[in-house]
Amino acid sequence: MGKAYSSLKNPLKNFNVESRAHKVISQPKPIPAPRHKIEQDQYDRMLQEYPKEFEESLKKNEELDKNLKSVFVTSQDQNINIKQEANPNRPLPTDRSQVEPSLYGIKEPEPNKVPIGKVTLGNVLEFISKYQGDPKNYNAKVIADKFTLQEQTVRNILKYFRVFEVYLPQERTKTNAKFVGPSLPRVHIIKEFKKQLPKPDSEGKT
Amino acid sequence: MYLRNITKLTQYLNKFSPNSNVRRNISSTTKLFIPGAYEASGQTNVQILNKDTELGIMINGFSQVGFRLNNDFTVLGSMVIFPRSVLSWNVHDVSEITEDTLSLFTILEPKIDILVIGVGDRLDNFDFYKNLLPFMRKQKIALEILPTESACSTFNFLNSEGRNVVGAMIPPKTFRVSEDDELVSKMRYQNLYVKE
Repeated sequence: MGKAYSSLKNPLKNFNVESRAHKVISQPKPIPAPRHKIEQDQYDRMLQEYPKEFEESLKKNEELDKNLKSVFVTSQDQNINIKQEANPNRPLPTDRSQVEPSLYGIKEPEPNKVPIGKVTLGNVLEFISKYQGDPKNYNAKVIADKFTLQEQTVRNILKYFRVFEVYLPQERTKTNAKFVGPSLPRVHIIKEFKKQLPKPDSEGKT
Repeated sequence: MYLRNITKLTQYLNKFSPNSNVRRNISSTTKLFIPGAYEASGQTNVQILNKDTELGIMINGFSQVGFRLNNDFTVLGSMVIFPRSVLSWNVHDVSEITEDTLSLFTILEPKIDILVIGVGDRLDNFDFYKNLLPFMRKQKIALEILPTESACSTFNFLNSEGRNVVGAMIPPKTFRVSEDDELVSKMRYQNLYVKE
C-alpha cells in the first residue's frame, strides 16, 4: 500500500523542481526557517522587555573589535623534558621484563606469603598425589598439620579430588588415544618365599 | 604410566554410550581450502583457541563418558579443570554438588576468579543452587552454573583470557550432535570413503 501511494505521490513532488530550486538559490539572503513556538515566545518577550539592549547587540562594537585585534597568543616549547623526581619512600617500578608463564597458569605466591588456612594449587596437587601413593602414612592429619589447614576440609578434598592414571591402548590405533581416569587405590601383593618346615606328608606320619 | 588392556575400557565406554563413535565437539571444524581465495591484506583470519597450546588446557569435546582435552588426553568421568592442570572429581550427579565437594576451591591461594560448573544435562530444577548460594557468598566465589555443553566453551573462553578460572564438569547423559561432529568423529576413527 505504502509503495503504491508513494509512486503516485512522487511525480507530483518532483513537478517543476528545477525552476523552484533556482528560485530559492537566487535569493540574496536565505530566509531563515520559522522558530519553534516556545522559542518565538521567548524572543518576543525579550524584544518587549529589553528593546534597547537588543538593538545594541545587533550593532558592531568598534572598541571591542579593536581590543580583540591587539591580543596575540604565542607559545614557546620549553621544559619538554620535565622529569618527575622519584620519591625514595614510594619507588616506581623499573623492571620492564616480560612476565614468564607460570607452571599453573596463575603466579603462585611465595611459600611464606600464603595465609593460614590457604594453600597453593601446586601444593594441593602434590599432597593429593602423595596421599594416593601412601594413604596410611601421609594421611589427612599429617597434611592438615603441614599446610595449616582444617582436617575436615583436607578429608573432603582427598575424598572427592583425585589425580589421574594414564591408560594407553596396547595396540597402536589410528587415533593414538590416551585415556586418563581417576587413580584407584590398589593392593600390591608381593610374594616372598620364606623358609618353611616341609609339610607333613603321609609317609612322614608313619 | 600404567599399560593395561584396553578391552575393559572399551567395554566400559560402550556400556555408557552405545553410539560411542560420535562425540560433541566444542570448536574443531574442518579446514576449508578454496582455490583462488582472497589472500591480500585485510584478509579475515580465524583463530581457534583450542589449537593454541600457550593459552592453557582447553576442552575439545565431550561425551557421556568424559572429556577430550586439547593435549590429546581423554578424561574419563567428571573432572575439575584448572588453567593448566586437571583433577578427577568424584561427583556423578548434580545432587552431589555440595559444600563438601567444592571444598577445594575455598582454600586456594590466589583466590579463584570464577567457578564454572557444568551440571551435565540441561536443568529444570535449580534447588541445589539455592542451597549452594549462601555458602558461595560467604566464601566470595563467583559461580557460573551451566549445562556442560555451554560450560565447556565458557571455560575455554575465560581460560584464553588468562583468568584464574576453574571448571567443574560432569559429563552429560544426553547431548545433541551436529553433522559436523559426525564428520569429525568419522574422520578420526575410520576411512571416510568406505561404505558402512
